[in-house]
Amino acid sequence: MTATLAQPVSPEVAVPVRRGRVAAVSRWWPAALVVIWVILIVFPQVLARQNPYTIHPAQALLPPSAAHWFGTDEAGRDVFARCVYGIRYSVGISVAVVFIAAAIGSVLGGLAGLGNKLADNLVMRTTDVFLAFPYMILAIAIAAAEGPGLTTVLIALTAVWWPSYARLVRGQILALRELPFVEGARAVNTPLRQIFVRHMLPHLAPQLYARIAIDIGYAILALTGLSFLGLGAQPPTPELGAIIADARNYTLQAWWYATLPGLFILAAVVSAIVIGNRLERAAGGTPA
Amino acid sequence: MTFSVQYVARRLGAAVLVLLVVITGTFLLSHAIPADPARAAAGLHAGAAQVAAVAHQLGLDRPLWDQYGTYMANLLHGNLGISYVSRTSIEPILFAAIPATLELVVYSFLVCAVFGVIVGMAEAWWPRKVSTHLVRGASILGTALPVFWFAIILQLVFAAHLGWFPIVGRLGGDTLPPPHVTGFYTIDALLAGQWSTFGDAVMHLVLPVLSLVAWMFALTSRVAEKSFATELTRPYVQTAVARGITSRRLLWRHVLRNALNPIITMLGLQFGWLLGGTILVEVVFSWGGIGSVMYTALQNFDYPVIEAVTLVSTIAFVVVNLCVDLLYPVIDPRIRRT
Amino acid sequence: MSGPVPETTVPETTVPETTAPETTAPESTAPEAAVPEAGALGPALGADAAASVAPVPDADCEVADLTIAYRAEGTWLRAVRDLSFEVRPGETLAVVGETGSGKSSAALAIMRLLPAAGRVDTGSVRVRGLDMLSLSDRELRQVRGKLIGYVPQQPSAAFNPVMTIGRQVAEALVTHEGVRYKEALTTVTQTLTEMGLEDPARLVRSYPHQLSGGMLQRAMIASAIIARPRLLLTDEPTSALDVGIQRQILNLLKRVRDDHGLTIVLITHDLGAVSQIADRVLVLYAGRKVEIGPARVLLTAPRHPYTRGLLTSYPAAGLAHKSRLAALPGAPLGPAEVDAEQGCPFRTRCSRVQEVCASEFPAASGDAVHAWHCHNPEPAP
Repeated sequence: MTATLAQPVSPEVAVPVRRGRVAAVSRWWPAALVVIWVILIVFPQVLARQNPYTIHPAQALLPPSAAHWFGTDEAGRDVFARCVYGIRYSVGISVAVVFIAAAIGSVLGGLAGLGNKLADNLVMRTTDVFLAFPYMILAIAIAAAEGPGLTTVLIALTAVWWPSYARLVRGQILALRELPFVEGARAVNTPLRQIFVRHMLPHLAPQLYARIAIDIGYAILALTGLSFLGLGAQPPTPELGAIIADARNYTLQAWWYATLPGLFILAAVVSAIVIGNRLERAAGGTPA
Repeated sequence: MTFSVQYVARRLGAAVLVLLVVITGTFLLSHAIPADPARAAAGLHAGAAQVAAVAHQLGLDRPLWDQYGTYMANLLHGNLGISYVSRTSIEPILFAAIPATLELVVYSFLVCAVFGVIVGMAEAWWPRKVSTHLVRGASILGTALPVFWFAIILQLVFAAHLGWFPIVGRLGGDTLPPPHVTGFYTIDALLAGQWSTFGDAVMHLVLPVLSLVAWMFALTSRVAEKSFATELTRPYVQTAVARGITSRRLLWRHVLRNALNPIITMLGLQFGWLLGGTILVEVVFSWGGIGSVMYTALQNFDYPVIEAVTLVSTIAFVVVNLCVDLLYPVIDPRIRRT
Repeated sequence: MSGPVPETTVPETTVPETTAPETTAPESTAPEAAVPEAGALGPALGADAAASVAPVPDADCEVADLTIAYRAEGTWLRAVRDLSFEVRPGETLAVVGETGSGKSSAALAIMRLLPAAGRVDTGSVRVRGLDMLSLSDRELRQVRGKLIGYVPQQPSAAFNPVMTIGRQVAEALVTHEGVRYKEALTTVTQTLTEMGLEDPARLVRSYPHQLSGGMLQRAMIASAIIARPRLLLTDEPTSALDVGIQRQILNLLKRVRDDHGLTIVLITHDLGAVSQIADRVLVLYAGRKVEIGPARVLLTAPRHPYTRGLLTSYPAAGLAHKSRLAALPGAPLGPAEVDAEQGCPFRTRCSRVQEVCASEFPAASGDAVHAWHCHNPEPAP
């Protein structure tokens, strides 16, 4: 007979508790999401039944209907189709940005962590400078300098994103360096590159993946923001930020045009975060 | 509360160095990278001769070193250059626009910080299972929101459709701004006793601030919650409770200060994001701050203005981060003597 | 040992990570991260009426059939089972056992300071007649610090690093006497001096990281007794300290006890401390009471094999020396085994084990002065 007499009193943390049902759901969601997005990006026709580029001037600014789920824009193009094709750019470029940034950052961070004091300082000061800029401002400045376009945005965002990976990798390496098995490897003069690849990467990789997934989400937000400002995709390329920017001119007549496309962005970013959290938990940390 | 002069000096030194590099970087971005700034200045339809003339007029045909020297010299005098579009000095435009942005930024920041910390504290103290999941879910949604899109939706629903708030601008069309003291319409109106102007300014602030806060709030409260939850596991909490103190005293006097460190770091970072988000919000609400100025400059390829805005906002960010760095020893006595 | 506050910081606590911003993009937020279970210390509701008070108690603290369980992996495992003992007024009772024996839990339960993952399943705890387990939150707050003082383990971690020593030592006084900090300062400095600390005026303005372990422990004791409690619970007061300091702290505790007429419950695994300061000893193994009796008797002629085992590596009374349980074969039981054990938990390591030990936990033998729970106890001297 175990009757609880005393209420828990001290707010000390005990064993983390997982709600069984919810925890189970979170297990297969992320995988399913990845699959869905990959299908969407590779086969946009599956979801978008119309051509995003064909102009039908007579059918401009129609409200949502069975034929046009998100209605039409000012040139009579199916908004939903434009969104589906547009999100491909958003997701595609964001993925590219983050992967490239992660690669550059990891290499530089590795150099900083494994190399000598000079290398470390060099890399760190460089990241300091890049991180001193508010990230959107830097992206805008770079994009403006290069001239608007999707490649510009790619470059701009990569420049903004790499420092945090450099810092992350460097920090992890510095911590891992102290571990006995690394000391052992160095004692027998294993080349640094091998130490890095064989001993450290397996520890780093899971964390990196988690971070990458989440950053893809944030990169999508930044990308669409830049496009919204006119710095990204140029017409007629559909890109969600640009679509919404165009739609602003017609908000009062066609509310669906400006609002519904955002749902795609939301879906993409939420997916990225969910996937990222799942990866993070798999890597052994609690999501930040 | 004695500070280590060394600590302050080092932080200051680092900040100044970073600023120098930032300024140089900004210069390069505007002068070295763009394909043909002279053409941009002259206008896209100008002929070759006209472009050359403009290039000469604006000093764009001088060697880069030379331009850099002039640029730095100008900066020291507070001269931010000349707009390609208006052919006038940039500083007046900027300095007129800064208070508008500041008002937006400061209020958003305060709301986000204060409520974020309080909600985080409450979440850590009373982790109700259902509401925690709701809040977590809302948090994800919050951070996943594209700021500009959310701003448009707010504008559409609450301003255009329901009419509860104005659609654009800082003040209604027929309201005159209050006499200039700080540049903050809210504060200036209060100082001048103009209650209706104050009310109008506040109404105009609500939606833009909401757009910015929704995005940042989720993150702040999340960091706050995590920080508080970690602190609550520390031994000193148990010892304090063993003395018989109330939970209010425990949270406010004991835990809060300890939990602040990561929260302040996050807030410092968020200021950077805030600056970016502000540009988007200003565009949607036609706010007239430096975000709007930047937007116009972007559309016109007005590089000097882009450069100036980049510079000003980055300097602000550096200063804020410096303050954050200097704040750590204030909160945590263990850091004071490093 | 007491000297002026050192200039340099004593690295007993780690300085928190502060750094320049690490990311340009925000950290992730989680839909379902591990949810820390924080008990709600919400405002005390209910009437002001004190819980039932028994008239003129014989004991300062009576624990009867106490069973404490902790939550682990979805179920509740008992860490302390059917524990009964009493603490008489003015005496010092040492609660001895190895890590995991449940001694700290028992002490925490007396003050109802169990973490959220722990709970009292059955039993009762009475302090000066007050039924601790049925007190409301507000009543509990009145008791803690005022009736019962608590000296936790590891003073360096148990002090709030961002609050001055003065404020923390004064806290019980400020809370219970309703005085302001400034008014409490005289009492604080007096108490600190009483603890053997020099330059208390400077100490009250110092921060925990500026003090050594020994000084912190003295300050901690000061903070626990400043509101003149009746009962003092000390959890391993010496284990974090150097050997030389340990003795001084124990002497301090003795002095404080005699000066203020305190009843002390001393949780420890250090038999040296027991010999120095304890009147009676309660020995716990795997959450069960195995022996209780006068210190002198248990340290020279214990009846329970475990107690004897504890003594085998303990050279002589008077020397501060941590007992080493490596002398005993086998290993302590894990939490699940402790909970599931039907008989005597010590049987896996006992040289005197019999068949009955596996199926039945031995009832008490002996008398009110000295009692033990063993089917096959050590022979009487």
